Amino acid sequence: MSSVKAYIIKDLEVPPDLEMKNQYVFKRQRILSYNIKSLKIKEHLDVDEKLILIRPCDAIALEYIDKVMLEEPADPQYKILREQGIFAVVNCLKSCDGGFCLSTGGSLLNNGLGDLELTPLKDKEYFVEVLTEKGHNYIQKLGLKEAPKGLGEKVDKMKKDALGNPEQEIIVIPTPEQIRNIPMEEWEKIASGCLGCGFCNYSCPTCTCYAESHVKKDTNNFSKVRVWDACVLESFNLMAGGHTLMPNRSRRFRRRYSHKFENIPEQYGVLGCVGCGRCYKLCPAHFDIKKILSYLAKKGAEVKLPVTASQ
Amino acid sequence: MLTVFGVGEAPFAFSSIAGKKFQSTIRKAGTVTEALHKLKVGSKIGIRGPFGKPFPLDELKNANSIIIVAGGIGLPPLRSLIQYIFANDFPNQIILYGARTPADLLFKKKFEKWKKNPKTEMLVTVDNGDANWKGNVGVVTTLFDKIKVPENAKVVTVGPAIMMKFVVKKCLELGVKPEDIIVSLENRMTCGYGKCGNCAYGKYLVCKDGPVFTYEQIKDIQGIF
Ligand SMILES: Cc1cc2nc3c(=O)[nH]c(=O)nc-3n(C[C@H](O)[C@H](O)[C@H](O)COP(=O)(O)OP(=O)(O)OC[C@H]3O[C@@H](n4cnc5c(N)ncnc54)[C@H](O)[C@@H]3O)c2cc1C
Ligand code: SF4
Ligand code: SF4
Ligand code: FES
Repeated sequence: MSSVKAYIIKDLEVPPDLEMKNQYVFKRQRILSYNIKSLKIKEHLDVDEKLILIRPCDAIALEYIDKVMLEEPADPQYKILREQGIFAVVNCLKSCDGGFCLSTGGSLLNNGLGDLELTPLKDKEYFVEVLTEKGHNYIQKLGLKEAPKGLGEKVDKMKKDALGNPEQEIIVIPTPEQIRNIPMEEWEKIASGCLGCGFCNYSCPTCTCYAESHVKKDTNNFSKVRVWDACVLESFNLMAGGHTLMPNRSRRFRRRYSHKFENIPEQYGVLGCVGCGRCYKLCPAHFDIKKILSYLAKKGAEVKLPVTASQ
Repeated sequence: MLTVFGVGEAPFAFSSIAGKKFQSTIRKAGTVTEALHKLKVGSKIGIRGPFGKPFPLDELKNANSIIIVAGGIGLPPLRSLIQYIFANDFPNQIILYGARTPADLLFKKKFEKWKKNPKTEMLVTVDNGDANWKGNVGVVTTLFDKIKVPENAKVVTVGPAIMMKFVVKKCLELGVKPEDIIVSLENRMTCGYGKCGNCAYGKYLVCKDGPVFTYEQIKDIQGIF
């Protein structure tokens, strides 16, 4: 539903990279609380209606997260947040540093996803187009000012200009076969220097893995809490007695790539990467995903090994 | 998944047929398992599940014969299968069980009963015997040399990763087809229903797609096999 009416919204700021996903896949979230004496359990499903500002790449990532988290049995907390949250997709009028969304099938502009579409006008001020009923109701509640006549055309022109001149380098994304073709020695080479710190996971809009613990509030009251986990961490699937199925850093490094570029495409028919470039921007060791992907595509096409899947 | 309130949650298998009641057999390995061991009779715990794919009972029922290979703490989940097999009309079974030492053998009291079943052959071995041990000594795969592997047998194996690796190798050498080798994988688990990602193994989530897999399904994953 594209609306005829458009609005102006002010005083909004798009969250910084590391806070983006935290708006809907929380760094730390209480799942339930309980009292060990009474054994009364309270599930935390209370979510307030709130405006969530994301980028076009995040909107595409959300479609993938939905596939995982809403598949029955759905994740209750995530499901409610998706129902209650007003997702506003903020168009990019020029390419961000390090982004390669065009290479992953995305665009600088929103492609009909979310409840509202925002286009930046000036600092903290946006042109608002309503995409869903939920978005419409929210705008009504805020009582926003309608956009002046003629601004719509101006915004259309800004969008057209952005599409016409995205100033973004196009890279080759490796196919699942190419990823599979990369031998382990090659991954060892590629991953050398990785700190295994997890920033690439934390900043990634498609990474949703989490760990849980039972946190003590006082003698009798505890909460089951989940926090962001990261598949590059040594602890990620460490079991009792120090057993793990991913015993070294290069294997874990490979896991991150094979999940996004081999497993997710084959299972869900979409790429597990939306080309946001954040894992490059936030990596303390400066691993450039664009360079790595180009290299993997090249190597994967060269080496023809017996086909083996990656762990 | 069992929760000890105030401590945490961990995944366990049933070691009996699960109806209104069920049994789990738990090895002390860390925080949650230690807390479970300290519980008194009548204590309340939390339970979520069951999750994942069970043993393929129909396929096993229609098999020519079944070989069950258990290593150490791998016997409890197989005991639920053995109970089911005994309670229903299943083909002949060979049970091979290995543990580190005689003291590590679980369900010792049940062995005589199992061996009495006319459709069952059972062999037990330990890696290291002790003064009183008169039985077989050697890793569980050595028991394969003491049996005649029936044609078209289906093998079900549960145990430590390294043990399953050698069981699979042995079975393949003996001509068992990859799709007839059934393994149960262990991985870290948090949610149990395909959300947290902790149990990822290749393209699979062990909690949801497993823990029971045929070797055919997982043989191409460069992991433990
Ligand atoms: C499908 C499945 C079935 C299992 N069945 C049994 C059984 O019948 N009997 C038995 O004694 N053990 C079983 N285990 C192993 C058991 O889950 C671990 O021993 C237990 O999780 C250790 O938890 P802990 O808190 O005592 O150890 P800690 O090392 O303190 O564990 C801390 C965390 O790691 C996780 N973790 C540690 N080891 C494992 C592991 N091996 N597998 C999965 N998660 C782990 C725990 O969930 C917990 O969150 C099974 C594991 C799986 C995956
Ligand atoms: S952010 Fe960089 S250094 Fe840290 S785990 Fe990811 S690739 Fe390795
Ligand atoms: S892998 Fe890197 S570039 Fe791709 S979506 Fe994740 S953070 Fe963005
Ligand atoms: S245990 Fe959470 S995905 Fe398998």
